[in-house]
Amino acid sequence: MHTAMNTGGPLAVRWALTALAGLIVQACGGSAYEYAPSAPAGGMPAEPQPESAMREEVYATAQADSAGAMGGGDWDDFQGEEEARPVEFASLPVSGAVAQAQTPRPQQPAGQGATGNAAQTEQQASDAVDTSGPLLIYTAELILAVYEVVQTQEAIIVAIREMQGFVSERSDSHIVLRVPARRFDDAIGAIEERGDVIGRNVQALDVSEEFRDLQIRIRNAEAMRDRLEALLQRAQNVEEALSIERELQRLTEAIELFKGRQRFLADRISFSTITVRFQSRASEAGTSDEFRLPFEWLDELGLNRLLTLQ
Amino acid sequence: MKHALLASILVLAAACGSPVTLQTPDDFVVLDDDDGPYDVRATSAHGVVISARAVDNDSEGSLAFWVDAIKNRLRTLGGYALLEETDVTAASGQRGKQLEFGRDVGGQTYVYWLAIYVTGDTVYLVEAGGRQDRFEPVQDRVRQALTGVDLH
Repeated sequence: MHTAMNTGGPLAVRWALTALAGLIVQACGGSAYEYAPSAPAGGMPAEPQPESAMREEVYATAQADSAGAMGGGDWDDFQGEEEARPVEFASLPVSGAVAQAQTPRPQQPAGQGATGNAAQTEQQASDAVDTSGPLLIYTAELILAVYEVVQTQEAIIVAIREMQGFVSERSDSHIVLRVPARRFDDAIGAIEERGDVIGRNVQALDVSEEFRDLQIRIRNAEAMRDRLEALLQRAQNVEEALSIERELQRLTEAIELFKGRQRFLADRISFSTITVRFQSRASEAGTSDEFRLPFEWLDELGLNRLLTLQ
Repeated sequence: MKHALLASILVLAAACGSPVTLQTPDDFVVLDDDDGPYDVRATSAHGVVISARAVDNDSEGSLAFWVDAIKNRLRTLGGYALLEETDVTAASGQRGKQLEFGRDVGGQTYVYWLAIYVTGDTVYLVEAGGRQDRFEPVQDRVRQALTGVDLH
């Protein structure tokens, strides 16, 4: 009896683990058990119904730049922000399709009175995201003229805090602000009122597909974990138990990575990011869209030449 | 014959002289600025500077064209904030535009004003600038200087 257990038992467990490993691979990197299309059950509105002129403009641009134009490039943008992004996610398909003919519907903020606790904010945001509509990440970069920088920064920060936003980063030449997505337009307007905006770049990235795919993967992986735990309870010897625990550990790590990515996306969906820079556009690295009229005297205008008395 | 010779001398004298006459405030001194681009430049003891010059308008750009070109150059490429834009008229009757800019330099806020007048073949530029705290006490007289120009 004991001998039979030693020969037939491990083989059965090994077979089961091999099958489970295949399923885990599927859950972690391959196709999911089930697939939910990115569109919500009710379908998308037939016509875009932008909530403001700015979003209309963003969507017009987004439509023009669709077909994945923002996909890979924007993923690269996120790499800088997400320091602990796991390597595994590099192979995940990123939802690159920018919102097309969809009504932008910024998510409600995770909580009122956010004060900059990023981890807490991310967790709250993840819990609060409404996945019934398109999930959009709004980002903006505004370039303001270099005039009364300190006072302007202070005025902008006061306005942003009144909107339950917070300062994410600040230096002499720029500030990074996070505002509840529903106040995104208000925040842009408030900044424009407080400085001379000489450059503007607003983007909306649709992460609906990636977010829902993560939800499915988490659900499947958690179901698999439950089954492994049940299998662990029935392990007949130490070898079986160790094998199952190794798989459990791998699966648990994968679940944490999925959830981390999901929290990151939820945070970016709930709180838009606005970067305000105080500089001339010519000083931007890589700026190539500026032109110079061929009149040398234009270059002699300004304080530098006028106030040089020697 | 004598009258014709005298008229020629007057025309030559006008041609050789400055194309713009600037009424500088009393407590400003005129600088010897032969090597610079300015026809006339003056400074206060506190470094507030006023200047005037004429440049060729061979391309026959209109006042609106040059105002837009200057705004673009200073705002987009120079980082200047456009604070105000007003219509002005020179003492000699030409209509122009005055642009008031601000910019921080080295942690200090500066003011830069520019009046632009355009005749057929000439663009006249009257500039003024200085640190904001030193500019504000004399800004009324600077404003008079920018519009009190005589364009030849």
